[in-house]
Amino acid sequence: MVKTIIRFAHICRAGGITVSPAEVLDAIEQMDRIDLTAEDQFRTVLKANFLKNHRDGDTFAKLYDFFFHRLPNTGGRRRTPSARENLLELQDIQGSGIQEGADPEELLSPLARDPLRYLDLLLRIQSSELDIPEVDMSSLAPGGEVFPAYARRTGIDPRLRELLAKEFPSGDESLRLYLQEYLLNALPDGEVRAAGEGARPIVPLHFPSGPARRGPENLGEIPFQHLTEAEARAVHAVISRLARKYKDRITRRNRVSKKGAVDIRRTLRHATRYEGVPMKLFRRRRLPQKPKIVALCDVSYSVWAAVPFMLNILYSLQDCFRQVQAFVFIARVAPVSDIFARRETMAAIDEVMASYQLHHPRSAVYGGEEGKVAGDADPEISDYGTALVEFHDRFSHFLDRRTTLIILGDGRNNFLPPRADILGRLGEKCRRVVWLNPEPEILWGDGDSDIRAYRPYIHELRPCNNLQELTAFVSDLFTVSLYGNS
Amino acid sequence: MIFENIEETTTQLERCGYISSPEIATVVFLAGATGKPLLVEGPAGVGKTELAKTAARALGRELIRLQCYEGIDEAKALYEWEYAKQLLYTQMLKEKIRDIFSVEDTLAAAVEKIAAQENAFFSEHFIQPRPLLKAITAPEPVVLLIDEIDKSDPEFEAFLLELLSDYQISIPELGTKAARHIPFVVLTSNSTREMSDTLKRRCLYLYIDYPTPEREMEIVARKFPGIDKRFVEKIVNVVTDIRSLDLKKKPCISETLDWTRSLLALRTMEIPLELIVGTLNVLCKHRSDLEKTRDHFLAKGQGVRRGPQGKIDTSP
Repeated sequence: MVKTIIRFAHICRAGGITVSPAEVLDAIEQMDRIDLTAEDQFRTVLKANFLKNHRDGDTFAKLYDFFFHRLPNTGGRRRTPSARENLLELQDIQGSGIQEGADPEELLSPLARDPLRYLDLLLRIQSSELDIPEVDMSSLAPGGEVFPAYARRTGIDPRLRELLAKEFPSGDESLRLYLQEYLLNALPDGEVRAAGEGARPIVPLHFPSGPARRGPENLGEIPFQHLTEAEARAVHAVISRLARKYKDRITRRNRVSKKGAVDIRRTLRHATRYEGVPMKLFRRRRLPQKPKIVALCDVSYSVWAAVPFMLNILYSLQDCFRQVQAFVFIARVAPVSDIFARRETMAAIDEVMASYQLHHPRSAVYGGEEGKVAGDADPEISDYGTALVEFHDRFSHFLDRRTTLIILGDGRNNFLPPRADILGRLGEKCRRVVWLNPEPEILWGDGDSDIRAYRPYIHELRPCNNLQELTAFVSDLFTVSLYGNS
Repeated sequence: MIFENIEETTTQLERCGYISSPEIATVVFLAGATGKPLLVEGPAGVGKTELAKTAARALGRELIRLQCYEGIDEAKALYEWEYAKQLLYTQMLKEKIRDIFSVEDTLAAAVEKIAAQENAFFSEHFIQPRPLLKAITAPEPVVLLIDEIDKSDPEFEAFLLELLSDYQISIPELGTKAARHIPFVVLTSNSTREMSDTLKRRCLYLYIDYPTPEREMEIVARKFPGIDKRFVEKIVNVVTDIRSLDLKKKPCISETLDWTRSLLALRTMEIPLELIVGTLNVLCKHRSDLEKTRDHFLAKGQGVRRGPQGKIDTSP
């Protein structure tokens, strides 16, 4: 059992749950104190020791279910009939979700002789949401059917990938690879291989699987517009974790500051204890200047994939700023901050995006921009010039010397006048203008991109097309605006 | 005395008025058996503090509570020298001190002499114990509740580490004080701030979520003995329904209890929609939540009214 717990700890680590060796030891020690035939007690002990963050709860539940209920037990042969193993034995008997009455072991053991069919079964069960009992792999005949290792492996690999991709869609590649490796060794094929086939895997583990997306696999590097829904969720989760980290960091910096003017009142109050002798100086806590953020986001078709993430990170961090004001535009500017005041962040983002995502820039697709009057007749194509003018006229009172103006957009202006001078005027009103461009750098200034016209008025221009770039931007935003003096 | 096994933990807690889930009972039992601190997280009002209080009652131990807040420091948590008392004693003993000085010729000799008396002024007599020191030096084992640890600063959290791993405290003037009995430590947190990994590593972790309807019914029935079971079911169903909405602050157990109390005061056995809407401010404590819940129930009410007649009732 110790081995099983250690393996499970490894899998938890691969899944992003940090489990220290001390916690593993604690869990093993506590196993002596519980009734091992009751699975919920066993699970609670693991949970109380391994899981120290509620947000990882779902991952833990999934991993637990996967590891203890679905994976074959590999240590089967060396099993000793100690009380600790009772639990594992129990799982062989209990929890049949397939057919009442039928002996599940009997049902599954012929299948288990063939790993391919076993995996298929796992896949089927997974899609029908059934729970299956653990299969005792020790009942396997050592040779099984005669099956060339190569064929097995090639058959197993894609199925494993499919299984794992379905089970853990949230995109943590290291977990999937780890489990894949684990399963490859755990399945009877591993024994065959160890018996003499040569320990070299024929298909590399890192071999890209079939229909996967071309390009980067790492969640941080996938361009926003290529994220699948599950990945987008994962990105949002990363963003909220990040936001928490920054909030923590700010309070921390706040407290350790030992500089600043002497707080006369507190010092004197404390001094009364020592007959008026100021034994200890208290300093007025110098609050870091919190920046005010005004964000102006292009929500036209070409850019809008990036907008939800941007809004999420800004509003998750709004406590760290003096104020966050966000505006969205295609050609007309609309303030959205009141939506965020009214609703929870993710719901507010949904509401904002829902009102825009169906507006397809018609003329951008069908052509016919020539001779159009800016911002007139067809408000659905990006028009930065009109948007800037409107923002300047209606909302520039939001800008002041402590404001950082963030513009998120590709600067694709459909050959309309860019009105870069207006951006210049806006820039004079605030401290910094940062332009985030979701396009790859190589396309800047290409075609109808007016980013070059705006460049002179921008303090900082940076790409922002995936999680990594967004994170880098936010981290810089803090260093520059809170602790720097530029 | 400590819990014997998990079943006993459940019954003991229940005897003292706390309906625990199997998970809660298991973790509480383990914390007691292994002497590890217990870190309890969860939304406000699910009974985190209550758990510690009940554990104290169930074990027949004294509960020592340390309420954390921003800016709490060792002086508030551990001990403080009673300067005022020391000064007072110095004043009163002036004569005596003068006597000591008078026989000495040199200043150095006087200092020497007074240093020899130092112990008189830095003794336990002048120390003001705060919750943590109290818990450590208590002659009987106690339950130590460190409430809302997330409100304290990270430095304070780091300071707690020494206490939680070795159960000892160093006072420079008096030396290290080791615990006579290892206290049963419960830390609670609302997760406004993430606790450090080092602290978490030393604790058993328990997340208490809103209770399942069954457990909540049991709790309500427990707190209002003799209440009609079907009435409790109705109440809990409404609260569970409200919790499923996207609210800023969802109603917690104590609010369910308050609401039950109000309904009982109104002497009603049925809960018509008008009554729900009328008494919502017991359950929802934010204006936007109130509006959202009201809209939810009004829409529901229209659905019910529309149902049998098959047409939309437009009356307000």
